Amino acid sequence: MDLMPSPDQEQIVDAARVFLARELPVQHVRWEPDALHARDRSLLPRFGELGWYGMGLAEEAGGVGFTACEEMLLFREAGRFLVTPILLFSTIAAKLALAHGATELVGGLIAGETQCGLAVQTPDHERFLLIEGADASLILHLTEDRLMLKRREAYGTVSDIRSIDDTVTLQSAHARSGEPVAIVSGDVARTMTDHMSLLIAAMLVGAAEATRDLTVGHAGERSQFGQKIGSFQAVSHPCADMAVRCEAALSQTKFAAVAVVSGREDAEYQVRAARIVALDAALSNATASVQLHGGMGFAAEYPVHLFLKRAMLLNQIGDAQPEQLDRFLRLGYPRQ
Amino acid sequence: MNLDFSPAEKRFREEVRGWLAENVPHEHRPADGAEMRDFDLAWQRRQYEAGWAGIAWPTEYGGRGLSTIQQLIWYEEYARAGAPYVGVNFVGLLHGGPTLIANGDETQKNDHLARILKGDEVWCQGFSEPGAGSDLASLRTRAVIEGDELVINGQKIWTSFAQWADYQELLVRTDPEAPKHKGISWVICDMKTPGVRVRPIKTMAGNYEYCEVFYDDVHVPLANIVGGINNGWRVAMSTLSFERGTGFMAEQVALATELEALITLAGERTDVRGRKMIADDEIARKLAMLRAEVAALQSMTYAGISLNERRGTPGAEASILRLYHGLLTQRLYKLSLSVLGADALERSDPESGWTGPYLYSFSRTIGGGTAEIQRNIIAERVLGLPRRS
Repeated sequence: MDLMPSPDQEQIVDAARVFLARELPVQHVRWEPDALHARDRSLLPRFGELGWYGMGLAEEAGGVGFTACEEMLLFREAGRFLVTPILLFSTIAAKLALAHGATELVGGLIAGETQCGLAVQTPDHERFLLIEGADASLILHLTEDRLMLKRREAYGTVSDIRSIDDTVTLQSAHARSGEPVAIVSGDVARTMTDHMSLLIAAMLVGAAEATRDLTVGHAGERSQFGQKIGSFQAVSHPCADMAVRCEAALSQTKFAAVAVVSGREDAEYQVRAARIVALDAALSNATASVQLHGGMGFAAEYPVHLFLKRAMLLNQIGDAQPEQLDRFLRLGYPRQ
Repeated sequence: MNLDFSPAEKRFREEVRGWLAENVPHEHRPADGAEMRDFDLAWQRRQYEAGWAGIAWPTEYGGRGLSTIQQLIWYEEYARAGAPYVGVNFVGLLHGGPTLIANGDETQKNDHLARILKGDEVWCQGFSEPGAGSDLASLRTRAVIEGDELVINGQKIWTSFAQWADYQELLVRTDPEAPKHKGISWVICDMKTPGVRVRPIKTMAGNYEYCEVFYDDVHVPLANIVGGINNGWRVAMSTLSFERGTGFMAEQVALATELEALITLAGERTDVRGRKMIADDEIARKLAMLRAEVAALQSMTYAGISLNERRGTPGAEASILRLYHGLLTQRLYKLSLSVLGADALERSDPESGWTGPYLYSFSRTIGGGTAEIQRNIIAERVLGLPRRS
């Protein structure tokens, strides 16, 4: 039993972190005119060259051949740097295409040449919201018991709407009839949905850590009343609580990743737990971070609010809270 | 990263599970009094005689010399079997004993370690004072050297089980001129020494776990100083790192059992209108949140052990685990009151039922460093925020 990343895994994380810190510092986000022209869009093929979309795919399928553990560690970094969820959608789409036998789609997805968005049904079942669908040719579509990949053309009457998360595109659309290009159901769909939840949890962990670090940095630099504000317990104690939430979310997400990789019976249980605590960490830390940054936290120019909005967005993919909680409680407790 | 246990660890688990199934006492642990001490010591002796005491302690002091992972397996099986709380043996096994292993001389180790494991002696802690709680380093209990003895005068407070203890890990000021962290010594005090007087304090949970201890010209041999004179602050910090690191592993593991029992209870009990408590969305979602957090607590325990295996000793990160565990325990028992409804008016013992543990849970963010002190440690030593001025 060992929940520490191996030296090889550390290396993957370090390489990703160095790359993202250079190419996609979160401070840059504020200079971007809109989500479609955001800096990370130009990096989508680079992610392909780095093998990020195919990190967890077998080598014979064109992937890198790593496991969900390495993917989880990579997506944590992606969350830390607010990388577009296209990375997530294309990663899952490639797995889905492969599972369905639509191998002709896999190459474009893992190269970052084909972009994938995601459709979320509105509560009134009237229409869909397309997340990052603006430039996508494929759309991931989750239902209660199936996971589908559709052509972008399968959605009509598309209109742009303002996204709560300024850094991703959002559109309203209706589904047209038409066959999906890939579909899985039953256990395969469940396993794949869990896999997506694991990577969502990892991105939420990265987001929670990012706001913790921005806040700690700010509290160590900003002075009021003649001292660094981080020396006041009214500031340092919420920072400590942020660190506690990060540790809980990270530990559980690592545990869940290993449970997925080793095919443990409790994999779904551990993944749902990870997603629940990671969402709480990301939302609570971002909320505290806005407050502790004062006016800067409320200003759009400073990036902390983007992490709050990203957490809200990630929550709506698959089972959102509170359904997530309700389903988790119905699972049997895994006994050793 | 892996969650695999080696074949040897799996065999160890089987062996532990088998022994506990046969040997865990069926009778209820007495909540207080001499019968509680007798119960705890008899259970400790039974574990020792079967070779289960001090799993991670070195073999030369009567332990098994096994890994922290095996220690974890023991606690997991211990919780699964519903084995009793460590009780009066807490300080000896998880505080004083580990401190002696790390800092004691051979005589001190030989005099006490095996006896602690056998259930032959009970230890208590003597750190806090009326004027030195969170600011522990300003403690004022004085020890003056006379010949080859220390003569101690002063007062300690919040000492668990002092009335049942044979020895105390006692922090005294041996150099009043030195800066406050530099003039403290960690000494072994025999509780039967003339001049030691104990006054039990009733807690809000109704038991008499805590005590005040008064010292009136108490003579303690200089040979009882552990880790060198005026070096007690460093020794005390190592003591607290054991408490914050692995000291609550058993309780962390057992919390899952408590929560699952609460979920079962919420599925059985109904409100006054006959509706199942778990059908109440608010209760159900709080239970689900706690369940996810308890899973995270287990993962943090595993992650902490993984880090210890790499690095050797628990660091300041241990305060994160301690704080999370304390707050989570409090939320769990608070929620149990909603599940109980009017039955929450009946008080149970501090370690059984729900209302007693609820009342007792307030101590979880006070003892062993308050939540506020843990947050200071996390802010300053984990996050590197500026120290308070």
